[in-house]
Amino acid sequence: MAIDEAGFIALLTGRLDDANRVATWILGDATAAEDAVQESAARAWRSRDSLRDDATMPAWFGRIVVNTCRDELRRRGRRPSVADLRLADPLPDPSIRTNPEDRDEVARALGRLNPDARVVLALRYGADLTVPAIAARLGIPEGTAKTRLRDALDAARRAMAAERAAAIRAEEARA
Amino acid sequence: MSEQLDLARAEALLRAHYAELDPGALRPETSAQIRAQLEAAAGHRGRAPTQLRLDPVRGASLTGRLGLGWSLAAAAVVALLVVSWIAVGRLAGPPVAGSPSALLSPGASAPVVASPGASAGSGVPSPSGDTDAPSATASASDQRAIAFADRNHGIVVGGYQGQGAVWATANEGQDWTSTIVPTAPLDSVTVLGSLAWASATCVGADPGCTPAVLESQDGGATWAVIAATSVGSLSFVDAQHGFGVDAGSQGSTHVLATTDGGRTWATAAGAAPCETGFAAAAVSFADANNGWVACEAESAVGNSSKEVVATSDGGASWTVRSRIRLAGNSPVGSLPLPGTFRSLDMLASGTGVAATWNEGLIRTTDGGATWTRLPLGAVGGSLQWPGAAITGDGGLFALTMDVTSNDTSATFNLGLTDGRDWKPYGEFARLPAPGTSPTLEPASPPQPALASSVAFFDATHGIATGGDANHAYLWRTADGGKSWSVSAHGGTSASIMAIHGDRAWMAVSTCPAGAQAGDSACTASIERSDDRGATWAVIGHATLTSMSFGNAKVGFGIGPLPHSASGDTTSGNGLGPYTTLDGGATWSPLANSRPCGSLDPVSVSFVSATQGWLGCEGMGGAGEASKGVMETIDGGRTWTWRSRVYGPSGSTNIGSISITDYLAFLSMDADGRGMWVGLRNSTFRTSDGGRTWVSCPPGEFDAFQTSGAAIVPGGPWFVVQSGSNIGTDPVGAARLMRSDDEGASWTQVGGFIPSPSAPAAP
Repeated sequence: MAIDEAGFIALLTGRLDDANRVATWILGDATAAEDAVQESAARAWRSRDSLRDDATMPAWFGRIVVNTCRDELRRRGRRPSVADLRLADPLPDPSIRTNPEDRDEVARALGRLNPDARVVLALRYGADLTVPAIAARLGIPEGTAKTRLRDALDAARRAMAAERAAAIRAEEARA
Repeated sequence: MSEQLDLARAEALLRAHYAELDPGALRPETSAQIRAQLEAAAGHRGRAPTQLRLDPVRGASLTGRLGLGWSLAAAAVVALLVVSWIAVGRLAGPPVAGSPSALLSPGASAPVVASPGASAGSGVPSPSGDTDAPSATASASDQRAIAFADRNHGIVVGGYQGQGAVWATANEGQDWTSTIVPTAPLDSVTVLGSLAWASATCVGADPGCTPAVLESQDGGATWAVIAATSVGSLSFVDAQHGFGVDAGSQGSTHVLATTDGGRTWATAAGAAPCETGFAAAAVSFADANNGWVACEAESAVGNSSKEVVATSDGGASWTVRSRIRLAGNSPVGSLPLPGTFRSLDMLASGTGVAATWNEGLIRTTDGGATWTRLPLGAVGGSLQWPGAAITGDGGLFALTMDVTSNDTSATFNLGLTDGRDWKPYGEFARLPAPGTSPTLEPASPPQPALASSVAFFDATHGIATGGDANHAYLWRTADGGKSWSVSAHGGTSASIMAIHGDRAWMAVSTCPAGAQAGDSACTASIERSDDRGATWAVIGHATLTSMSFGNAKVGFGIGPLPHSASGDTTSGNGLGPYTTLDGGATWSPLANSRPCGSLDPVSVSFVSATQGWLGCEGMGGAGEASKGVMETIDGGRTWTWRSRVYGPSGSTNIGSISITDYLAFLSMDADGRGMWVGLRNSTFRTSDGGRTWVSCPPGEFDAFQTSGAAIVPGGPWFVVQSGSNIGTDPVGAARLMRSDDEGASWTQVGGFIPSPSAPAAP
């Protein structure tokens, strides 16, 4: 049964903190996450007639948030971003320090991954969801979620290794 | 240089990264702002249509009366623009005009759920699909690119339920036919008379995405995959010669070219169209000589450095027609700073249109030197996947869609213009949404219950289990699989089976609504039948992911190891081998709990109480995984590798086993013959106890996913497959394949295994 607008708004605003966390994990920065939460709220409002049971609100809105973030990643992914151009820059980046497991390295490695991989990693290792929960959140079969997570983790591993190699090279170039 | 980083370390780094990134709650002022906007929107419900004027900062104004017919599209534009100026405003101060309440505009509070069917609840796509499978499947549709050969003949491509989809019209968009193609969603299309090409591209390193180039020779009615290249922004000048951009890389200053109708692609001869630092984003050739490329460099907050270059000698040389940079270097011609290129369509006359993200459609009449924004006017709609096409007979088409398209059924609009102003074609020329299109409506329920596991007592008597998301079913055959009876079984999921003699075992999960097998909320049980599957009884409780019996009492399985921190089986730490000595009632871990070493046990197949094989697998990627097969002759106390692959050229590899695919299921007989099947359509067979594995003929298995396998000792081999061979077979079907030569050749037995009609959802 459709819920009234006041109830909908109360439910939705109750989910904003969670939405912000998930969006930040997926997008990797707080500013973009806030935009995504606002956009998600707008989408949810426009689509509210499709929410037939308030008990499903968390999953329903959760999926809108994930889709909004994925769309943003796709938009970014279709052309070289500032970060990508910096990666291609042969000059050592002064922000790269010797610590090979620097957090920036992980962030840059994640930036190399495709949107679906970033989403699934954020849900697994950020939101700490189980594979079935990830499947439910994304609306995909559990087997697909498992395969996607496996692929994403492996891609992340390779990307982190590549980032570490780049950092070591940069350090050697400075030495 | 290859730095090794093991998976456990990678997982730890990821967890640390996300923990450090965790921002906690939304900033209170933002939260309050959203609430205020929602309440304002609710308060405006029912008021008269309103004049809106937005965003003079970016020169993007929208003026118009919001009528019911297009309030959705306009609201989408409002939301997109407002989100855009929120982003701009953060850097440049508050917007000059507009109010926060515009985020959720009065127009949006009209009944604007996209599909007319929404209120009727008939298959309306809903994001609440966690427990509502039909709705969830119907929502996965989008339209991503558009091309018109002339005013009448056009094609739109996109995705439907994760596959490619094509919509074609022959009468200016009044009527559309739709087709699904078995590729990733399509994001580029071009039309040349009755010929058409489309492509599915993959961004970056995307193991889950297979690129494709498709060709149609009948105006888009039927398609064939002709290449597996990630090439976007297709543009053909004749049946053989075409151009595109390299979508598989992070950007190239060159475009790609084909001289064989799209089958092979290489960097186009001649100079690089884009200057250093720019990447080709879209290409359009009007004829063999005259072409244009839209190039792009760094972007920020919806703006981007960009340029349009042109050639009049087939690409031998290029001239910059227009250019603008974020850093404000002296611009050439006139290009808007906002927007990033999505598509480009040019005529030889120098008139053309480009679609952009964030800046909508821009148009040139002077060969790309000056570009002006095309107001979408009453056509409305935002440009989630912006697309536009121009034709030599005066047609200008725009692909517009609702920004919520991932979440609800989208409305897809098509505009036709005389070049001065948009005229909606008719009221709206809507592309048929998948939920309402006869050709896209699945002939059977969206997720039919399919047999996924199979076991045979002899060459004629077999059983199969499987189901849909919510119900388990049991199939039985007494004629070698030619015909099946099917009945509902208890539980919500049943897929693991083992047999010995007339006895059969089945692992059954019963999950509450919303949970899936493996959740802690589910109960797992082992059921046994002593009469070839006619009657079943619960004999114990264990969570097993594989099960095999060496005799009527002694069995082996794979399940989560006790004392595992989380019971999580995805990180590769939690699975181990189990054994039962009492016919399946009680199960205990084998003493040797990590036989596969750094790999994980995946599937077990025993032929006696002492002899059996174990399929092991490690993490993989891009369709490849470390894997191996071990054998024991002492009931699992000790194991010996028969084959193993850790990498393409590793010195630790043993025997011969493909690194391709993920090992899902292993089945062996007492003579050391057997097969393993993968998650991605591969089936391999061995005749030497698992030392060497050869691929079963792929042609037999195209488009179907093998999910279960059974070997009748001394008799035929069977596999059960499910999938959808689009165009000829029902959407979602399972079939039985039989081999009488130990896996060398396979033939389908009978028709499809019947799917029960799903009971009403609880």
